[in-house]
Amino acid sequence: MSVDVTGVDRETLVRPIQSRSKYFLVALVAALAGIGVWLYFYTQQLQHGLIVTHLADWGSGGGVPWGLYIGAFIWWVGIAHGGIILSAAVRLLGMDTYQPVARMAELLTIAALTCAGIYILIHVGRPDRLVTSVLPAWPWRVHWSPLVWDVTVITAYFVLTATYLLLTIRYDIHRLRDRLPDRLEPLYKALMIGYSETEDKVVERMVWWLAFAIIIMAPLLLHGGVIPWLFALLPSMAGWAGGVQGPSFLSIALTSAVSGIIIIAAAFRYAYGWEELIPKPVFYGLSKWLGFFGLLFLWLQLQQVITGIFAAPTTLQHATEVKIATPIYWVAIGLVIAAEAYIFAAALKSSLFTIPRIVAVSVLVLVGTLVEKTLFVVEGLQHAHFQLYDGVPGVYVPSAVELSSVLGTVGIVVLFFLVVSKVIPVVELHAIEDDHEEVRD
Amino acid sequence: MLPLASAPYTLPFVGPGTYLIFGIVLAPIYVMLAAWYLGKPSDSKSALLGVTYLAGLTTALWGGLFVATMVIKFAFF
Amino acid sequence: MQDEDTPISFDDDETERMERLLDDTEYDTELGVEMAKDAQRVAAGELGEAEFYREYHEDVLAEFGEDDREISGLLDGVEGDDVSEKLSSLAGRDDLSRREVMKKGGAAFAALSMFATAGQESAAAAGDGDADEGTRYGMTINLNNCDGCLACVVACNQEHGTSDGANWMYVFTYEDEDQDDENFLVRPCQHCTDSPCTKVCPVGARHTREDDGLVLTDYDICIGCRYCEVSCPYGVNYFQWGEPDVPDSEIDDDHQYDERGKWVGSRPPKGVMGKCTFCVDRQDGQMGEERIGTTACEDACAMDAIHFGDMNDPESAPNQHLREYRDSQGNDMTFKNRKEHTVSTFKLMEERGTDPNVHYIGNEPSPHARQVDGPVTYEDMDIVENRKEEVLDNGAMANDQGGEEA
Repeated sequence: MSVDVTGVDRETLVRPIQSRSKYFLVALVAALAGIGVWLYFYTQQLQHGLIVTHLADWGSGGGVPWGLYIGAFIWWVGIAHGGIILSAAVRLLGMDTYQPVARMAELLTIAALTCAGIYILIHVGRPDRLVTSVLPAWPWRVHWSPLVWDVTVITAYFVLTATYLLLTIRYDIHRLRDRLPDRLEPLYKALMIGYSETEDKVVERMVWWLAFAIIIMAPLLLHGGVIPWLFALLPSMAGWAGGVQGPSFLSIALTSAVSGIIIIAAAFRYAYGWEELIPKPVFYGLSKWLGFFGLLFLWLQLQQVITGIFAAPTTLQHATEVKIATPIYWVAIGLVIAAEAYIFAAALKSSLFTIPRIVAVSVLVLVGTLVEKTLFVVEGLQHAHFQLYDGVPGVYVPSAVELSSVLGTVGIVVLFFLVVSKVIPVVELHAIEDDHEEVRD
Repeated sequence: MLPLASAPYTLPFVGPGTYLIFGIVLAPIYVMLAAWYLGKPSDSKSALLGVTYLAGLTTALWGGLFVATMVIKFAFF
Repeated sequence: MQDEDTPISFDDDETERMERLLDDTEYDTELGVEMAKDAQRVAAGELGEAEFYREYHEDVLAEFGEDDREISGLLDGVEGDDVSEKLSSLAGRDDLSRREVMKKGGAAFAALSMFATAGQESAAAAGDGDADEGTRYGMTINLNNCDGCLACVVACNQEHGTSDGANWMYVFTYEDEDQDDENFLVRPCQHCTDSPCTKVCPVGARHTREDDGLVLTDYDICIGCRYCEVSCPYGVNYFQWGEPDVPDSEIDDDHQYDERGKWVGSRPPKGVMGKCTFCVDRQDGQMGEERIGTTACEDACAMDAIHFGDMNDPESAPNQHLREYRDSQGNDMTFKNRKEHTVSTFKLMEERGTDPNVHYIGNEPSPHARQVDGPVTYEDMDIVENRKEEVLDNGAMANDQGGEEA
């Protein structure tokens, strides 16, 4: 069953660029406010150091040196995976149903990876050295440090996605030029450099290979690779070990990614009256994918729990027992289970499905995944293999400084979409064309 | 044999990351670049555009980050 | 000690004992025994030196990667008229360190000299299998001698200007199912040979110094990502969360810059990671010749528990202490195949694969060990135990009175 939006006209497509939604100003103010709050707190951190957070040395220090900043970093990288999942589905697997939301998802990838990068900046003790210490050391450290692998792959994912966007936007701008604002002409000229229609087929093939490269790299080697390896490769913490971490992290990423796309797509549909352009079946389909990835996530949590409590080595047993005795862990799991229940019910009885409900479910899933990731980091640090340190128990509750960063980064993503949606179409022109007819000529 | 750890005390230059990054993680990119230049339809002008985007974006990303860190440096450190 | 003119007998008992000694090395036991037998034949004039060289050249290359057995030339200055006499006299000399003997003739000589000085076991030299020269700083910490006084912790904090609660040296008092009464675990940085912290550092700030194996942090390069702290199984890292308690003006450059000119000594600045440096400024002579090969904690310890030195040197403080302590704890030798002493040694969490360089005398805490207050508490000594509770929470949401100075 494929969704057919080819009847939609170009006016509708460029509606965000040509008209102002009444929600635009509200969203803008809210985004700037969120960013402002965060900047206020971040300035304090830059002045006084990370002592303004609730982080501390683990072990004899009684704290955790990694907390919400790292949890949120992983969370944003996870959300970023939506872009490639959607684009791969459309380009590589021909799932045209999702084509209307493919570009939004790509844009979400750029925004989310930017936030992930901001979290690295916020997290380190010496942000002033982030480039001057990291870049010159890269040729030597890339052979050993999982953090450098992480930085390398995130850079690659960002650059590949941005290249994908820059290449595919040319087709759209060329054909929609007269509907785009004149004052941005220099920008469009730059984006269209060297363009002629003969490139269309070549670029189509190039971006196919781009999508291929990303689908191999991002899920398998980034969120199912170097990111879990940051933890699983270490000899220090009992709760982090194991080959299951790769698949587990990936399942969370995919769940968060689809949730993010649902929210963004619903926002645009609502703000610009895009019922025709992003019809309900798109959300219905996305909800089923959310259900599938969420199920994988729960299943992999089960793997970790059962192998950690049946007859596990002492330190792993202890770490797992602590994990399942933590109420907030069950809040996170419960949120995902609740989401699963709704999605399952709606899959069986489609009248139960509404877009506002799936958006609410997506928000809850995002909360749950952020909590789970932060717990993973924090509880890992609170239960090291060196169990003698249990005598100095650590308590971690994120401080206002840390919490404000979540607000700030969400604000940045919202701001990003508000600005970009005024400059380029956030839905591909191909989506409203019959079987890529223009290109195949 | 992977020279994963040995005395004397500095880590050898080659490590697990050498194979991981240059052999596995970047492999899809090597394949993609090859496909941009070879096969049909391909066009060296478009391929060059793509490569320029890759290089330019990487520079812009790290350049922008560098500027941000320098601002932080002069303001706070 | 054998008379240097008496050839070593290769009867069954002796062979068995040699095999056991050789088993402790990471090299081929059988090869060692065979070479030792033939080396003795060279010494006795029964086997030509060139033949001896040829016979084992391939095997030595395969085992050690090089064949340093230069039969002539390197034996200049050694007593004896011909090679066999030289070999015998080399084997019998006890003023040459094992390392020097090995240098002169590779594994064969090592085997020979080892047997000749049987009974004088060295904790490190043959055992590490590291036939190269070079310093390998480490410690022997005798937990049986420790009384939990925390003088070492205080001394370290004072010498390096660490902030409150950043106890680079730390002492656990603990109770354990399988041990009586209270027990102590003294925990400096282990300066691991296979350290995870140096592998994970994204910028190479955390590194191992080539000439002596010290694991240090370059305070000019560190970006404060805290990954070394996260990766260390021993929990020895302490981040400078706010402004340091001891301002830069109160710390001498001599304490901060090592012989390579890198800023690795004393406490780190704000936003940077620090940990025990094995008193690198002492080792580089910045605090006087007499302090080289010593550490602040070792000096402060009144109970002869901490011994710092070069683990590759059989005569260094840690190796001597182990030897002497073993000599003082004799075993009932009624039964054969027993060690001559009753001393238990261990390396902390060795199964983590870090190859630590602190050798403990005593018993390793079991997974059921629980930390308790010691005979002297951290509070008694006016140092902070739970850093988060007592310092950082006061500093969190730092106001003018807060920060690590609180």
